[in-house]
Amino acid sequence: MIRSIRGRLQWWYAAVYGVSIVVFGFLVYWRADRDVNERATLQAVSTARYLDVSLRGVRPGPMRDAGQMNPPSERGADQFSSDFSLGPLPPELQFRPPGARRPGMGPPGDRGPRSPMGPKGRLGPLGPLDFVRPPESFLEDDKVQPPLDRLAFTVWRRDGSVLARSDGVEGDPVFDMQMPTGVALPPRVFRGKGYIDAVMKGPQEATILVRRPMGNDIANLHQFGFQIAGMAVGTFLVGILGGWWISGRMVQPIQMISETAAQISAANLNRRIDTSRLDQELVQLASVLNGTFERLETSFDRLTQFTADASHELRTPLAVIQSQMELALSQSRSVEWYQQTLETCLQSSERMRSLVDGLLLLARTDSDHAELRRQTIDLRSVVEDAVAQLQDRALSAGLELECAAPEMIVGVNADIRFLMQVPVNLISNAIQHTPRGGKIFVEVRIEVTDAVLSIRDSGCGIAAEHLPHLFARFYRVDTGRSRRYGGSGLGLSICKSLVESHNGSISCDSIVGEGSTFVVRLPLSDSSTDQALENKHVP
Amino acid sequence: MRVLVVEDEPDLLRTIAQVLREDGYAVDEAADGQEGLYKATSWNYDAIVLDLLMPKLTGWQVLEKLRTTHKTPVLILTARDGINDRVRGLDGGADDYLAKPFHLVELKARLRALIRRSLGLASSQIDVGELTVDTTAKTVTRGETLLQLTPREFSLLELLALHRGKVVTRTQIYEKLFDESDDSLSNLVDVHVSNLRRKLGKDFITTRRGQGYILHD
Repeated sequence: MIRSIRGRLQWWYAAVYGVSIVVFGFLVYWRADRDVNERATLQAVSTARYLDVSLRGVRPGPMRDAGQMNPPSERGADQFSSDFSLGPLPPELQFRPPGARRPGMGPPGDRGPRSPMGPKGRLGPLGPLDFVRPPESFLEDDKVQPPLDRLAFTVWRRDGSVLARSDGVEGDPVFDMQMPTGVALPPRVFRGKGYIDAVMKGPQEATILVRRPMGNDIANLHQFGFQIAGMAVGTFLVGILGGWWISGRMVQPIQMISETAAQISAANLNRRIDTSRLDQELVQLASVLNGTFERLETSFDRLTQFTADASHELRTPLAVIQSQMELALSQSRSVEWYQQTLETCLQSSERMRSLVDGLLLLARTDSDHAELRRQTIDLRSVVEDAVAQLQDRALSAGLELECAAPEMIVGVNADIRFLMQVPVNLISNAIQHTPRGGKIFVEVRIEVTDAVLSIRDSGCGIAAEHLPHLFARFYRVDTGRSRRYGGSGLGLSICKSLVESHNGSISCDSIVGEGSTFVVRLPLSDSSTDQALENKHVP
Repeated sequence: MRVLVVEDEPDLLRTIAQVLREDGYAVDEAADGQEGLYKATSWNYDAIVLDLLMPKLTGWQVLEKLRTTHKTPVLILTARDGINDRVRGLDGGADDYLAKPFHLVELKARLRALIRRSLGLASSQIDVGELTVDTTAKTVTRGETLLQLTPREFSLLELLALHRGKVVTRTQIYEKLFDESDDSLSNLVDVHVSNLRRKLGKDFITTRRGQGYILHD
């Protein structure tokens, strides 16, 4: 499973998908957490400021601190929100001269719980320090959002005594707020476990502390976190299942290809992969495979044909031998009968021997060209030897066999044991297929860098339709005819194989009724090439 | 029985013809497809032995042309023994298929079987009265005694036995008993008939003057 494409695809997909879901979940959670914190901080800071302004509202000499009513840029605020601002002050917080204390204490004051302590200010050195508006009313103020947790505050005088304090249960740790020391003038924010504090210096060095408990918010946040995690797991599972399905679909064509390939066996080579239903990438693969199957089938067919032909050629003389023997042994015969039987058997075995020799020679030239022991030999002498060897046969067939060769040496780089076969085969072929009284003309010549051997006969010729197959193994122009002459059907293919193993080429031109010309071209050896080129310049 | 052997391998053709003649058949020979087709269509042979790869006409072509007019049983004898070749041969109208190299006894047995089938006989024995003609063993018995017949006499008796109760004309006898190479003298049949009568007894073969001979049950 791990090593399968589908498995790996699935693993990688699951990993990437899982990581992105986790990252996305964390981002969402972080963002929500930040929002909640920011909002809480904003509430704490703004409430602290309202308290501060409310305190200042009763101060006689306001000028000095006027600039602090709307501080242009303060660290505490900037830390949390850049667009942090309080907005316009409520009208009751606008500065009023002393004596006009709390004229419109109406709605905010009436609503909400009044502090039991009330604004019981004690006169400090600079005058009485008191709120223009009951400080608890600010806790009700929901300019931003109704807080989930109640805000709490404490205001200390310079000497550390409590000026005002919000409602709360005594001893509740949330409200058990110690007076902070060394706090700067602008609001500063402190984060504790489960709360956020905003602290600032008010008028007459009073210290204002607003605490925003976070318990409910954190619980909500956690709940949100669990929801996200749950959804992530769900999405992940759905995604994995979908991925498994998709990867299955992706892999399916590969399976189809391998199934088709598996169905292709020696007995059934004609099956092909259907490329019409495949994707582009796989079409290429399938075409490559189909091409391979095609070649496999062709070579297999050729092999089958070759085996059938070879066995056919071997069986016929074998059948002769066997039936002759059987007939001779079926009853007692005359001595002449036995003699004739043995003679026939000898001829047949001779035929089989030449066929086996031919097959072996073909197999050898097919398999290993390196076996050739090459040396520079004179093509003229090879051809003249072959002509001399076959002269008798030509004469007894009533044919004229002539040979022409140039004065100079025609050197070719060849293995004489094998090369000798070529002119012998071609000339015997010509003898077989030329009617009595005909003529065979053998010529060796040099053409540029090639040694050329041409054998022309005045035989019956070969029809054009046969020429392309002429050098194929066991190909017969007329089925059975060459058998009458004792040919095996291998002669020409052996010639072709031998010539090609010597880097040469063989071809045939023929006109029906006029005769055929076989032309063999072999590359001249280096010394002969030089000589040939030299001679070309001399005349 | 008269058969035709079509085979382009001269040695094989000679051997097959020889062995069949020794077995009592009248054998005609053809060395290529064209000659084979000509002979096959001009006589009513009891069977034809046909090679496949031959010059001029292949065995398949011969078979195809022959089957348009004749039902003669054909045994294909060839070195091509691939399944496809066999199927093609049999589907092309051949009745049997034998691959080279082969045993002559098998060839003979297959030919006998082929002829037996074409004549609609169930077994190789023909009973005529107290005579029993065994076409396989080439023997004739009368009661318990084995009769000594020459191959040609046997063939004549076999022919008459196959058509027992019916008149067999002299022409039919000539056609079935003598092949193309025999010098068929007109009184040769009379000689064989009188020899047979001498060996079997006078009552078996009756002469229908001007028509031919008949073998009674």
